[in-house]
Amino acid sequence: MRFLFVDRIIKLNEGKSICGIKNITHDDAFLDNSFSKPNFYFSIVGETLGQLAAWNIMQHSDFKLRPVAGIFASIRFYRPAFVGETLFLEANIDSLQENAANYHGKAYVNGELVLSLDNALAPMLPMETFIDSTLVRDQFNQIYRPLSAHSSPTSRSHDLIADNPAIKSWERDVGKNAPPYFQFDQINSLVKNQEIIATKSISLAFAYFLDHFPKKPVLPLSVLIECTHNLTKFFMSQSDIRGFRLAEISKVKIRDFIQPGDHIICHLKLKSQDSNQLIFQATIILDDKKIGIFFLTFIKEA
Amino acid sequence: MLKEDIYPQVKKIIADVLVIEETDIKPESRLIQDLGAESIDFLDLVFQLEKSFQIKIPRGQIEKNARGALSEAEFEQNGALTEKGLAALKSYLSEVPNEYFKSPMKLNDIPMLFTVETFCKLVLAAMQEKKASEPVA
Repeated sequence: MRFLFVDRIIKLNEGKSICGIKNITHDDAFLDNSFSKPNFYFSIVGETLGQLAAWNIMQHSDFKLRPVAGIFASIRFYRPAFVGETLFLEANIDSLQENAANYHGKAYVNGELVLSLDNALAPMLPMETFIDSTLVRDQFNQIYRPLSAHSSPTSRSHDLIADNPAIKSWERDVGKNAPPYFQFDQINSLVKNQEIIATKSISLAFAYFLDHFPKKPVLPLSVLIECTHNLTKFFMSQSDIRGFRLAEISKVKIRDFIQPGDHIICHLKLKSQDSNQLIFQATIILDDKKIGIFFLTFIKEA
Repeated sequence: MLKEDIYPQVKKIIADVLVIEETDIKPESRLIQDLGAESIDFLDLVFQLEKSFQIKIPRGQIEKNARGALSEAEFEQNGALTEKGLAALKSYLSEVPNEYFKSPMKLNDIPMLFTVETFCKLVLAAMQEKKASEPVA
């Protein structure tokens, strides 16, 4: 299971902007089967966009530094990206300093917005702490295949999928659970319509640690977000709340690395609720210390 | 403009960055010891202050402001403040009670001293610098 997602970098303006593509195929490991057709997990679309921005930033530093996901103002989700579709990704670097990078980006399928990411602020850390810089440089060279000036970006969608009304309505097959790596292991407590507390133990056995990162395995923020997303869905089902879908993750901040051997606790609270919107606050606790916080906004499904 | 003028906005940003109540924040609150800030929070805080006040706060600006006319070698040696450096820091961070300064004082420990008022001063200095660099009409 790889945890590198950009298939090809098609345009790069060093330190400023970058465009890339990702084909969603049945060979992809991170497919969400809770919709009527398999699609790329929302959080992994966000991860892919973050990785695209990171390629530009790392190349700009001659692979001496790497940005590490830490703070996001907002990640908005518009529609799933299904197997057979191609994600077109673009990221813009708003500021690049020795200690931090600030960027934003968008992901599209056939010109239709899939996800937008605003105000990502990533601390810059020495590359060699996490991964051999030669390996990263080689990985970059494998995928950096810019389009010629006359080419247009590849963004295709299988007609059968695009024309399937069941997919357009995002019909869910309720009951299909997320894979274990996208779930908390244990529910510690649950108060319907109020809060849920759950624990996840981090094992070196998780395959994504091979890429994230060989020298210093740390839990990807996107995995933590997806676990929390699934915990929220479980909480809603237990609270008889139905017909809502994730629209935004906001005010995301992770203050420390989560590593193999750690046990994290997620304290998820329903902060506000009306007929159209639910807002949850997730607090992540490691060793009695509050190391992460973010908000999940669910909106009524159309 | 005075520190008091920008304090409400700085307080609001700090509360937002640290996800705490504004009522928990006082001008003399130390960000690390009293409000639980981590290094990534400083990154976030500076970014939010820059955006909100439309200023630039370069990395290490507080130390630079404290150093004043002293050379780097006069200010610190081998990661610790010199006597002159410590005196300059105490003078710049006049809002910080004397007992919080260690001797010897390591450079890495300086952020432990930062209070809400320190950031008000930092913003004010950056605003004044920006104003001074603007062309006179």
